[in-house]
Amino acid sequence: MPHRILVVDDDADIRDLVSTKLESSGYEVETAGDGVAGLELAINNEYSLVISDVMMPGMSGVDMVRMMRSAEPPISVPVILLTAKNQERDIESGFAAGVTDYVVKPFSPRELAARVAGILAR
Amino acid sequence: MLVSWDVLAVAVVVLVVACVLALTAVVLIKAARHAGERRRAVHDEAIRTRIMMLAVAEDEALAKLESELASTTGALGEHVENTLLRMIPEVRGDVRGAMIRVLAARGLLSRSLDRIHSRGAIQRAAAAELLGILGGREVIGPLTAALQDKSLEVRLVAARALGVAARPEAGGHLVDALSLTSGIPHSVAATALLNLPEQDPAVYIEGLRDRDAGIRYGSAAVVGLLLMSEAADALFDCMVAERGREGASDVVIAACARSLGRLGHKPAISELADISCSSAASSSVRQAAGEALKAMPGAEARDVRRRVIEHADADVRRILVDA
Repeated sequence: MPHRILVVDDDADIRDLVSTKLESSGYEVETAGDGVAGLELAINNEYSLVISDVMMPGMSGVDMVRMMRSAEPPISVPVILLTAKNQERDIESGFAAGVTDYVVKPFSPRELAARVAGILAR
Repeated sequence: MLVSWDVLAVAVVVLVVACVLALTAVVLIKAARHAGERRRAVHDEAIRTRIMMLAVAEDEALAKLESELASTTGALGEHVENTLLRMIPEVRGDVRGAMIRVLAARGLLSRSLDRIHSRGAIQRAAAAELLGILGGREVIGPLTAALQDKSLEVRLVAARALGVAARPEAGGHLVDALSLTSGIPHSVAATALLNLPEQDPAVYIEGLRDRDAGIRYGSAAVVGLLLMSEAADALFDCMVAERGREGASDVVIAACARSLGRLGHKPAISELADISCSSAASSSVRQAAGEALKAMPGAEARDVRRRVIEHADADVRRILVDA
């Protein structure tokens, strides 16, 4: 069974780029366009990993992770956050909310795929 | 006051016509937007998968894909360009390289190099922005020339674009753009400078000795943010010289002090102590010197802080008491 990964980003270009890269590495990918939709998918499905943007309309990636961790039962799936350059505060609040790792934009899809492989191999 | 029925009728007719025109405009705008979205969807259907495959393809398959995207013509070709231009700022590494190669092969680089000499400032600014995204050695000359453009908008976009292109050879030109006469906001030129890799300290050392206070100020601030220890002595000299200068600039002295604090440049401790207690210095300069003293490591700095606390004003004392 391939690992299932959820990609949450309001930017369709980035969503598709990340999905294409991960699918080519053999993962099964589902996508959501905002934090609310991402949270709903994470609650109702089982994923091996979630990759989420921080800044999204409605619910931010950090808030989505916070709600995932405080859900009943908690959703403990690893999460990689995509953050903008020089947003230390996002990274700090992301880790406080239970984020596993972060990747800074502009990002290298190859590097992201390597991080994904590393986390899934743990 | 009485209003005649005729005037009232005309007003009502005018109001109705205005409403109808506004409604028509709204409907037309919405229709145009929908048509645009439909067109984009059709183009996406035709080519989006191939664009996304730039993140996956390798070697011969990548070369073939790049050539295919480069030779796509008409509205679909424009769609390829727009999609890639949207995506490039978000990615780096080999995918970014492949996207830029496609755009260059489509002639976007040569078109932008031509357009940066257009008559219209809007066209020149748009070309400067594209050149920044496309990057590479060949864009630096035209972009640094655009820093002298007669239009402030073009100069500003060119400074930002040099930061995006991120080539070290742009450093000296961006330091010059810190000049008070350039019109480019300091924050724009300084942010662009912070983006450049492998910077030459000599450029900043020269900037710290410049006659223009804007260049001295910007150089002082950036040296500290980049933690450029090679320029620490020049930074200290700049601060001392500024204090003795006729018409000394408070912002230059404060920027030097802050950066010396960031660098932890110990030879500056006694001068910073002197500034932080000086009644001749402004309150903001004394506080900047106090902050720098607070950041200084070592026993000497600790002793000096103790002495300064006894003589400094309340604001500086408050800064140092927390140290």
